Amino acid sequence: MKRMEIFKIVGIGLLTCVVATLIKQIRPEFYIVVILSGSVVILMMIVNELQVLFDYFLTIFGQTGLDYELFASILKILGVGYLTEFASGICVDSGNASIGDKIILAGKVLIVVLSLPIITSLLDIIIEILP
Amino acid sequence: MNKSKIIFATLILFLAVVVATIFLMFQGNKEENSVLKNNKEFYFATDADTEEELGENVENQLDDIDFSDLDNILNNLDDEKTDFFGGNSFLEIVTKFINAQDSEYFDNFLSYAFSILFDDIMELIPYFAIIIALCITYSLISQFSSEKNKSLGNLIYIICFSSVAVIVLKIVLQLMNDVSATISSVQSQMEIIFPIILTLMTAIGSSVTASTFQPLLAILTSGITKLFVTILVPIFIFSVVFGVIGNLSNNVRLDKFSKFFSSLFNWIVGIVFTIFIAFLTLHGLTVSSIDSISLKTAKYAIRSYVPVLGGYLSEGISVIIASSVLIKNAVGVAGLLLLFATIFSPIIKIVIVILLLKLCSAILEPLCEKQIHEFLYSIAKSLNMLTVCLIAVGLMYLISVSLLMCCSNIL
Amino acid sequence: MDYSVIMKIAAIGILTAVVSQVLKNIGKDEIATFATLAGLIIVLIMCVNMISELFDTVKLLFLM
Repeated sequence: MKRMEIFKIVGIGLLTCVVATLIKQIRPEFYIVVILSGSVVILMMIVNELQVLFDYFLTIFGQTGLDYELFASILKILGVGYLTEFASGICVDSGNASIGDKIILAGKVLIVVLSLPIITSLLDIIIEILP
Repeated sequence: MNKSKIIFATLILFLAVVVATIFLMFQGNKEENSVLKNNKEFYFATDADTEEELGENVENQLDDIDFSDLDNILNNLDDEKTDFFGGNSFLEIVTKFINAQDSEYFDNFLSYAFSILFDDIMELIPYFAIIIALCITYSLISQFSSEKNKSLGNLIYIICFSSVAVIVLKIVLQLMNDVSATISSVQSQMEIIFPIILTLMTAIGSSVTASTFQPLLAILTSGITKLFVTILVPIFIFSVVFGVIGNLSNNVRLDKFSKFFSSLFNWIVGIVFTIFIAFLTLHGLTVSSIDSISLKTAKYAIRSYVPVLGGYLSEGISVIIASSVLIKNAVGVAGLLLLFATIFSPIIKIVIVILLLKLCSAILEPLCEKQIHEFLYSIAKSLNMLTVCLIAVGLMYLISVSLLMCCSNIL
Repeated sequence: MDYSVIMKIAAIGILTAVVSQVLKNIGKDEIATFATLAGLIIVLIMCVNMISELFDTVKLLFLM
């Protein structure tokens, strides 16, 4: 890595923790918002690096001429999964674990719906293999 | 005076006959090059007269044999394989072997092998690149470590695993179809070549050997290949399916099932192979001496009991038998060459897939969960079974044809 | 960089706390509550902006 982003990220993370604890004492309402904004900032810094990785993968697939539908749907599913976990984590942090559970349920339903084509093709291939 | 005149006249007549024969012999030498109908040339390491006679015999017998089915098989091979054969028909290949001009096949072999190897690797690498990319992305993003989110993490793992399984199973399905097609092609080759060789053997006079070999060869062509296709390939399929299901989740462990199937497979192949080869070799070796002795007896009888031409007749028999033996051996070797070309490409493909799967499993081992690379490794082990199928069938065919060629060289 | 946002939020939070404390000491509790609420709303708006930016980037990244 040309720029040592890890220092910035660690710094921001620790800063968020300190600020959040402070604000919790003074104004408990701001606690969630501080945590949320800290997480968003860290994520935004990572997203650029992930973009590089995924572009690399997609170029490979584009070169080999295979349809990368499979990889694209997996990416979507991973994105849904991670966002669900992200939101649920923040809910749990703020003490509303039940809302976090509802979010997780919604995420699971969406993931299953998104993954139907993959499961269907797997079953098709297994049926084709069996005599 | 009269007696001496008569003697002198017979002497001159005899001399004239001798000179005429010698003259005709030399004529025959010059015409040897144009005896060749259909542009077939036979060069043997004997003197000109025997060479001509041998060549005629070989030609006549080759004309009688019908190679059209084998030509069909040859033409149905892929382009690379036809290049390997130099675009010859089966008849031309047999002729080349008779003339010991077969070096071009051995020269072509290296370029053929490399072209197959290279093409297969380039075809297969994209699939494995996708598998590795998928697993790396999955392990990067799915850091679901908290207790409550285990079910979410499991769900995502199952989906990622299914997509990897789809890719791998596609490759495995293609390989399986290749193997089934190859085994049936080898079976039809066997069905065509064995009768030809057995008929030639009967024409030589080793009818006892032929009749001993025939039931064993019939078992090989129909029984054993059917066994392979109906029992062993399904065992392979079960092993693959159990590999998929067993690695789908942490709780359902089907390792021992896969191990059971692979040992079942090994035992069946081992027993069939050993019994078949044992029977074949024992029968073949003991029986061929009978025919050799009977031929020698027949020749001796002709030489001794037919008054004038006995010597010529028995040597003539030798010439005919020699031509048949040449053809039989050449047909056998050409058949083996065809077998080799048919089998080599699928085996190389399967071996490449096995090696690539193990490489992927090794690459993913430090990065991902245990079960993804376990899955890839178990599929690689199951693919071993397919290789064993092909190699076993090819070996049995090879040993049978070699025995047929060796056991009846009765001159 | 984006990290200044956290400091802004923290600053607004502290500012709101100070303002509401002062107002309470004066005696105007309702205005104190309103001040707290206003600070919260400002901070929430900033947060929502950031979150929407995040979601847009994630949509692009994961090809949704």
